[in-house]
Amino acid sequence: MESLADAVREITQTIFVTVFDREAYDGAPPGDAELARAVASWVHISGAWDGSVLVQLPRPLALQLAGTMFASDPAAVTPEELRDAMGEIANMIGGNLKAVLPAPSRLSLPSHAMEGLGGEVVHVNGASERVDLACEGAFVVVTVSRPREGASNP
Amino acid sequence: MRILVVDDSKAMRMIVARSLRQAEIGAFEMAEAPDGEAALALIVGGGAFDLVIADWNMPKMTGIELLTAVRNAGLEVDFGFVSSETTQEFQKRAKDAGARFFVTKPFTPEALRDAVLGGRA
Repeated sequence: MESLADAVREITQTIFVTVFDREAYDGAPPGDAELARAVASWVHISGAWDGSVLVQLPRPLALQLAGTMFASDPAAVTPEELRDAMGEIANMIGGNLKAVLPAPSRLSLPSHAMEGLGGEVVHVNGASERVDLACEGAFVVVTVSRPREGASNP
Repeated sequence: MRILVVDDSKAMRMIVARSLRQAEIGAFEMAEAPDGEAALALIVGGGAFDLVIADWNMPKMTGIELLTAVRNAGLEVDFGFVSSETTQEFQKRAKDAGARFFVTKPFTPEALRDAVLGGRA
């Protein structure tokens, strides 16, 4: 059976090719400081399976991807457009991942942290699987977290 | 053809529009709504749409709630989903409620064209 990490990797790569016409390939993990500054979006899955899917990208790549979605110059992407694009990426990864998880479950609307997560813990950290990808030399980190025992998603 | 695209993501509404143009489905006019509630107002307000393409998960009113409200209002407008919800359960619920097609995100222009044009007279 395909592991959760394999499913996340495959789903993310499909999204990058289909939506952005770009390859997402296995990449080196970014440093903690880089990751803390990354633009982030996440969705929660709740029901027969509870957890969160968090996507983190460096701001320049996030602007490039948003520019592709909006067919505009990345330099002209507005903060609202960046949130929209990042949210849709998390939504697509979460929605597709849900299909390989125990059902029934519900997908939340996306949340965002455009200035990076810093030290903030946005989801209840329990067991997690992290996939480190890269696109055009920039990192793409997708983390799937489960709540701690007895905790639930916000 | 008049098409109403309903998605809380402006980016996704633009991608649907671009995909429809790339897929050469023929001439169409497109209107947009950011949630089911706004879409319902346009539809019952006499928008005379030939097709509604809706996301599933949206604030205020979901896509399936929109479809149910449209059918409860006695309107038989053609309806399809473009959604990140990829399970059979959601596709069955959509079909049972009267949707003609269900395209999962991410999608290619060809997949959207096949869904939009498939089964049309």
